[in-house]
Amino acid sequence: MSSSGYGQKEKVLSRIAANRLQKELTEWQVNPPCGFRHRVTDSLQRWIIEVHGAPNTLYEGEEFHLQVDFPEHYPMEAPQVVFMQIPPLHPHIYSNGHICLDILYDSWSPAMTVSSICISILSMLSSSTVKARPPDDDQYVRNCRNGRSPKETRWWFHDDKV
Amino acid sequence: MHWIKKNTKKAHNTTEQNYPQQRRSDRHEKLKWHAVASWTWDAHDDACGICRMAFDGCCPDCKMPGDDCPLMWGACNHAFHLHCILKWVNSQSPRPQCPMCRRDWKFRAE
Repeated sequence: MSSSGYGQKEKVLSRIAANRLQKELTEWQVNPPCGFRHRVTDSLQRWIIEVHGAPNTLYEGEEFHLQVDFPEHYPMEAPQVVFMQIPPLHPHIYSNGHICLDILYDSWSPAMTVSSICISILSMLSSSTVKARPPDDDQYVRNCRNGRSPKETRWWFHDDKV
Repeated sequence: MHWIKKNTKKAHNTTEQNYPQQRRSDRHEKLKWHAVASWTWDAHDDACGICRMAFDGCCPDCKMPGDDCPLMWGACNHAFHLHCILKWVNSQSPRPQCPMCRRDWKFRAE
């Protein structure tokens, strides 16, 4: 996981990773996941994605931004996915943008795509019944102050309902 | 019955008489020939779920599809390029799972 650090530490994409990401981007342009928009940049390694809260959910009408950074050996390793600016108020989303979602860490599979990650995140938002930060938000965010990647966190996944 | 038989014979003779000369002048000899055949992998999907490249192509590490870049099936019947699934399985020891269905990965016995 060392090649996928937070911020500037990433190594450039391998040829295989670049190849696959180019395919994913083309596929996204033809068939983007509902409620998301890829913001065009000149970087294949960092995607900025607009997220629109789904109708009839607590987040209807709200807009958020995901930052997706791809490691050198994507898809053998998971990308790093965080919310930028003001993250949604959600029991599994910390105020620094880190997301507690197993598929981004221990349960990653190389068969997943940016598109499938987006759908999982929107599904997590949509099933929320309360707008609140995780109970340990202050403590967690304090521990990450040195700019630690969420991929370095030892996540404890205990709740598969929200 | 007899008439038909005769007629047929006649037609046949005409052919015999007309063609031999023409055939001699047009004769080509086959010096070499190329067999053309098509093949495809018998996977249930079109593309490898890991690299997303077509199964009838090869993985991104290879140049030629076919025997040099074979497919590999798991006991769960999901197929991947051999090179792709090996990379994943080797990075996931001791208990690799199928990227598609998360069952414990075992190579299917042929």
